[in-house]
Amino acid sequence: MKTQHKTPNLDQLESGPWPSFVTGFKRLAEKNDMMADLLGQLEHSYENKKGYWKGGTISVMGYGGGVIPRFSEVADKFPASAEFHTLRIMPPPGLHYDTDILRKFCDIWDEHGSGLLALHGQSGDMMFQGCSSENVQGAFDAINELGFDMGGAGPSVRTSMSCVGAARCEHSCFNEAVAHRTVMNSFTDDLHRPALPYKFKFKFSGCPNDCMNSVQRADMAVIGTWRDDIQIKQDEVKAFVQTRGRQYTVDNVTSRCPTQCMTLNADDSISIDNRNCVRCMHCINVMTKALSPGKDRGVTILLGGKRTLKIGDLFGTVIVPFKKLETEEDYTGLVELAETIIDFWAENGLEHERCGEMIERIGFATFLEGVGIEAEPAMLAQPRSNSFIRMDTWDEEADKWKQRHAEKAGVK
Amino acid sequence: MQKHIRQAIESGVPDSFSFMHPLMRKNYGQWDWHERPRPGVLHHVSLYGDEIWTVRAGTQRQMDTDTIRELCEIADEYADGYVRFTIRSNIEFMLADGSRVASLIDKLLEQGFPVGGTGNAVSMIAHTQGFLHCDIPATDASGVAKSIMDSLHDEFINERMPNRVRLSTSCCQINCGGQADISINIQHTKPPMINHDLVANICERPSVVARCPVAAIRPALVNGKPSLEVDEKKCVCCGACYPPCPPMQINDPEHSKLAIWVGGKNSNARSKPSMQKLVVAGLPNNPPRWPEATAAVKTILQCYKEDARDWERLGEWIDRIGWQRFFDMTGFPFTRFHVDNWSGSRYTLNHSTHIRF
Amino acid sequence: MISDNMKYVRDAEGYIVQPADWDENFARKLAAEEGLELDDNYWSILCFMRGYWQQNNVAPDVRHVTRHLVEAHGYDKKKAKQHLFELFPYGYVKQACKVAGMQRPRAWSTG
Ligand code: SF4
Ligand code: SF4
Ligand code: SF4
Ligand code: SF4
Repeated sequence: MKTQHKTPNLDQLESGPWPSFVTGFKRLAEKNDMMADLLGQLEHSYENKKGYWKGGTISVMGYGGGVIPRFSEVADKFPASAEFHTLRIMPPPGLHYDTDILRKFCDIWDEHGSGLLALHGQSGDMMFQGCSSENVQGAFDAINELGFDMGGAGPSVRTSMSCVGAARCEHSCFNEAVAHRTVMNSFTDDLHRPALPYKFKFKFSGCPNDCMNSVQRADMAVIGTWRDDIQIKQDEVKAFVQTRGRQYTVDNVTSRCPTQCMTLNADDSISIDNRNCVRCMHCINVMTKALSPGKDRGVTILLGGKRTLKIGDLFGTVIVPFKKLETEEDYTGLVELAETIIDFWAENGLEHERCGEMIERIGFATFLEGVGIEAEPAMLAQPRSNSFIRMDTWDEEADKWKQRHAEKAGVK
Repeated sequence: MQKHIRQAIESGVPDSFSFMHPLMRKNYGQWDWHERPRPGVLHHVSLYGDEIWTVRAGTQRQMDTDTIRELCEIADEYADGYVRFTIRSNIEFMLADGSRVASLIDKLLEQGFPVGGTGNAVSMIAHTQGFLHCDIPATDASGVAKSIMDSLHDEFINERMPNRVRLSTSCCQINCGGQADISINIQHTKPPMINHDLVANICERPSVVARCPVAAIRPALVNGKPSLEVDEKKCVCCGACYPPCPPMQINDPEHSKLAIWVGGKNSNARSKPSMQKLVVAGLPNNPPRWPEATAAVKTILQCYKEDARDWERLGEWIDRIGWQRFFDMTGFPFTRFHVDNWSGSRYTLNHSTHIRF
Repeated sequence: MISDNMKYVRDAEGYIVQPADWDENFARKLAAEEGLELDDNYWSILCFMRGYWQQNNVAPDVRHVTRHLVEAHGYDKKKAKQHLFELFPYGYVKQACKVAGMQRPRAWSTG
């Protein structure tokens, strides 16, 4: 065993009620030299307020991404952690595990790596942190044999996330796990062999509570919703009003509805003007027993969310107001939509330009035209308020709208 | 080389159903309603009448294999050998038998895992890489997360905030931590220091020039060598040039500060999703405990807790009371830096006479 | 930095430091290190990458190379990429860029 580095700064992170990563690291350091030196380097960072990793290029046979290489800049001081790469591994949707698989991961990681596992990274990967260059392939092979595959890195489709959803949440409006797998497993090549302008993230949230924060983080956010009426159990509404009181119900349910579409009736029942409900989830969140999403469920798809670099934070915005997600055909439609969008972006995006940034640059209307989707009012907060645009093809465009409406009416 | 190299099985995302607690599998898509009998515990009831209790506990995210094995033992004893994780690195144990919830909680507490993070509690902070594993960090992540969660432990194990509180932290201005009710992020305050001797040999200069959001970088000859120079008047100190060109050192132990942002919200409940806004900057990057940043977070939470209405998220509360009052209540200085000047910023000004006095 | 007969200066991971110093001998030598045998398939890609670099002073993206394969050799897009990754099984950045004498791409280090 290596002598342990002194870590006066990190030692201070061992006290306090929250579980301490330092204590775990020290446990590993007793049996693993890489972790002993890693602790040394981390302490060195704390002392100098400086990071000491540089990137590199490491990959496994057949894939172009998924390993995050880290080489130490202070390897002379901490030689055993000179190479400290991460393997990003894709977890099952909803982050479910049995203890058998977790123990197998632990055994593999004690054998091939540092024994340090982050559950989970911000993209949703299991992060097997701390692997030498030499061991990367062997570690991956062992994990891969268990039926787990490499996650994304670089200009590629990235690992996805979906909420617990239908597995345990009554708000769920679609089959998140199946949608997640169906979409992602149609893009394994784009995930493993980076060849896009930049990263592309899918996230799946079962309802507008958006527990996966897809609207701000996903290039393509798939969020559950419904078209018909909120399901109301009036006897449960009454029970709620009777225990909590009318005042509480008004203050916390009906008056908080963003479109003022709820009324508390004299008999302690509730009425909802469903045409004006914007499916915000608030009332359902408060009255979990009495209210639930309607039965005609599906998803709203938003496009282009991302963090600050380069043009500033962007929300995803609506590209498909409603889509059923039940039949095989529905899923195929979702995958095809994603393919069309990714293809268009791969052709037209600049280097290091996220999909949302490209849309910002070329204009949403141009983008819609490029991917063959017609503009709809639900995609906007409001129509333009600025008159500086050339509109000499107004009549043609208006005819298209009329025609589409006629077709829709015909279908019904 | 490359002999006997195994071809990867490109299996993609694994199926989750075999890893799911059997009761969740059985009632998949059939849950009817839930309640929270106490902080850290969810009780779900399905349309078939099945019930499941979930106990949620905080983890350190960066786990050694023995910690994971310890959690596995607990899962075997109480939760039929299944667990799941939340997006914020909390672990969840699912129990078919509600009467065992209390002893599971005792067990978790005994092993040092706080139980909570449900409903209107402060959940675990979204945690990035930091000094531990990133190649561009100005500060650590695990230590910040640990320090802040230590000091907010009481708010994790209780549900006494007006609504849920989500925190995040980011150790550079890439901001992996993302939007949150309160976000503690690195904010660089000086332009990059360029090591001109290295630029030509390491950096693809046109790519670096293209990376700058404000076109502040241009190619230049320095000491007869091709390099890059930064128009320091234009530079917004974002650090975007640093990853593609490490000789443009943006991190500085002194001048890379912390800033706190509030009001990010991804849920659609009541108001539309919103981006977080600047509250206070210039806080020192002060390991190992970051007391100044932690204190600022506590100040914000205290005001929110005292003044917001039930169900109001932090940003919604501020929208109701106005920023003037928010700054009055929290005591943070309001400065010219709070005024946005990025594209679209006119829409962040007050175009009305709506003012609270 | 490793220097070969003072001619090709390479970084710690073996990438060329000055792309302008690249020549075909360098490519052969690098390919051998990677266990690759350069045939016409490789040269088409390498020449395209060199041309792109001459023009833009940056390494092309993978998508530019696949576009070249589509245009020059009539592959369909999926096939082109497959072909590229068969030729360079450890990936474009790790192998193609190295052999083509690009500076180590850093655009993807993080973020
Ligand atoms: S996003 Fe909706 S369905 Fe999914 S876990 Fe959250 S509340 Fe439940
Ligand atoms: S879901 Fe939201 S918009 Fe719809 S009725 Fe409930 S509170 Fe109103
Ligand atoms: S926030 Fe920045 S420094 Fe921190 S992990 Fe993300 S990219 Fe790295
Ligand atoms: S720090 Fe940001 S603004 Fe300044 S030169 Fe670098 S990329 Fe440009």
